[in-house]
Amino acid sequence: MKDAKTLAHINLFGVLASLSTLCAVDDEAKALIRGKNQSVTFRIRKGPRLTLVFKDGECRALPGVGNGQVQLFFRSYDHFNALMDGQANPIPLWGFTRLGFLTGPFDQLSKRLEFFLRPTDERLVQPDYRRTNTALLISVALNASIQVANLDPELAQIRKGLPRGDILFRVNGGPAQGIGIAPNQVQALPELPTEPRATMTFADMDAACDLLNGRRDSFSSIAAGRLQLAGYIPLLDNFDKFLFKVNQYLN
Amino acid sequence: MTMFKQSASEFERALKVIPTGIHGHLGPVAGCAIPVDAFPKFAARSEGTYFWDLDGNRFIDYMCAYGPNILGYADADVDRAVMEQMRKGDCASVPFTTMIDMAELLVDTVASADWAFFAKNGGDVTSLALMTAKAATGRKKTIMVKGNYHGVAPWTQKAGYPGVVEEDVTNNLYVEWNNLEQLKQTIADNKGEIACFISTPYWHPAFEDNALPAENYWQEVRKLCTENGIVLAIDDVRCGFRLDLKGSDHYYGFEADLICFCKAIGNGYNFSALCGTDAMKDAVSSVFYTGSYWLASQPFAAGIATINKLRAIEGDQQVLSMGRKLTTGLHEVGRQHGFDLRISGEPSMWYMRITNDDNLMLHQQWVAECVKRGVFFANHHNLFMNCAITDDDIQFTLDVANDAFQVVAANNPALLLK
Repeated sequence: MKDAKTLAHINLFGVLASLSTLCAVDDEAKALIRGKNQSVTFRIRKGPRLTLVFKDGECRALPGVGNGQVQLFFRSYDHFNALMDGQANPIPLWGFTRLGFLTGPFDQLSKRLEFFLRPTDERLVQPDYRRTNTALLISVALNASIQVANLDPELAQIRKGLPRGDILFRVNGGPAQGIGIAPNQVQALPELPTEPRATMTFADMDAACDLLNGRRDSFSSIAAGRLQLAGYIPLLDNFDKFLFKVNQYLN
Repeated sequence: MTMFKQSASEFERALKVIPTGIHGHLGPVAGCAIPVDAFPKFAARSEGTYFWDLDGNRFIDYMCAYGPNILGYADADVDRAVMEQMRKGDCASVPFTTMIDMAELLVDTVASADWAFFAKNGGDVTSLALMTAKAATGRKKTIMVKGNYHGVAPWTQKAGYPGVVEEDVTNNLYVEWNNLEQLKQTIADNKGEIACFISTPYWHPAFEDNALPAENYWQEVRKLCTENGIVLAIDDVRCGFRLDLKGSDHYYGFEADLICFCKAIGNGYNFSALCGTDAMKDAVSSVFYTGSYWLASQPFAAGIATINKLRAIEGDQQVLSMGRKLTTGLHEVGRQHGFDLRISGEPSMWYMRITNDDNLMLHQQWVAECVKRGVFFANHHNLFMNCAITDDDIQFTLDVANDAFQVVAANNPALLLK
């Protein structure tokens, strides 16, 4: 079952926040925000907020920050989720003179994000596309997993019994991310852990790309040595349950 | 050093037609074979305490098929009994009398058993134990110990695991191992609602040091259950016959109402048994519970031969004694190289881990080096002794462990104990 609150958090902090990754790895996205100095806040009634800051050709995603120049309000989790489905519009609260940024560069950025998050066989044979697509999927998957881990009502029993420790996710020659795990608390780490309790390592970007796009399953990836697990496996085993649930939310 | 080319090739073939290639605990992605390329995937044959993989590598098998191998693979006496029964028949529309012989032998062997009910897997009989307890008491809740493994039925897993929903575990209550106060409180909070307390005889989860029952723990649990009308069920699927042929409840000095056996009961031939006291007989009789091959006769022939032989050679004492010898040696070899190889649990099915780090990575490296040299350990599960292991096997194992520690020490000098 999809919980609206969890889905909204996934959409906000998993999908929308990945615009920062897009602007970091895709030249076309960078070009769209070059010279811009704008900030946009997404605010859900009785819920979370996220501000995207576009400045100096970069995009920063700031969870919890609500002082953007443009303020977009959503009446409910369902309202925000409908926006992400293309079925609703936001309620602008502030920054009416800057709405041109939303309908111009921001809209184009969003379409660019969708382009990379909806791969086709033809697109995936292009090396540049694969690289960007993979970087984005890693960002979305990990950040969405954190939301699922902390919020999904059906995972409460798993959440309560989580062991403690840091996981290091890494792609050889690609991105890496640390996740901190504790009972009832899963979070992205600001720095990579130097002594992780468990590691999940993709052999290369292609290995990550194939798995994240469903071209190869995790079992054959592990068996073939393209995905290596090490350390305190219960951490990874529990996180795998969160990744599995993300799949249900986003498909 | 071993190579696994043929195993890897066959595993690729399996992945195409079998979910996960090898599903369940024998598979390389269940977390007990790290790194996966250090482990063989398929056996070509097995005999005594050894198996040989597809690439011709021989392993001393300390997993014993995750428990079933108690006498030694292809034990001549057991296999002879099976062959004799095979000539008569195995699966028919009515059972063969080997079923009665098997039940009589269990009743005669297991101290708390007045009857035996047969199925195929450990999970079959742990689930039956719960149904029996509920039938006997008219209650719906079960107390379980956190970290215990009772099989793969939904009630044994956590809500939120793929395929498991909240309603599957609604009537489960969880307490910590050896925590009598928590148990008392849980019983008080759910007065008149608890049908069953189910637990393994000692605490042997994967990935954690094992813990034996505290002094008088089981006697106190027994008293609490009796006073509150709760059925005490022991999941002896893993420990059964490796601590005491009379049952692990007998080993720890108490009497269970229900006791579940599987693994070692037939030396690898597949059947399981729920045994119980007379007081539980009507309840288990009232439960509708059966399966297609549950009363097939060959496994019973194997079970009769297995238990008779275990009794004759005092197999329970043998595996405890040899396990003590091996684990003492492994700990000492590790110490000589600067490693603390902590041994926990009972020596016939001990758990071990290197404690120099807290992430098990040194242990994974060491186990991988042992496996590559022909000693088959799993990373983070109980290991098992069998009656076919000799002093020479133990010496070979200690020599391999020594070489493996040497490699890991050279690769991790900063983590050695001073």
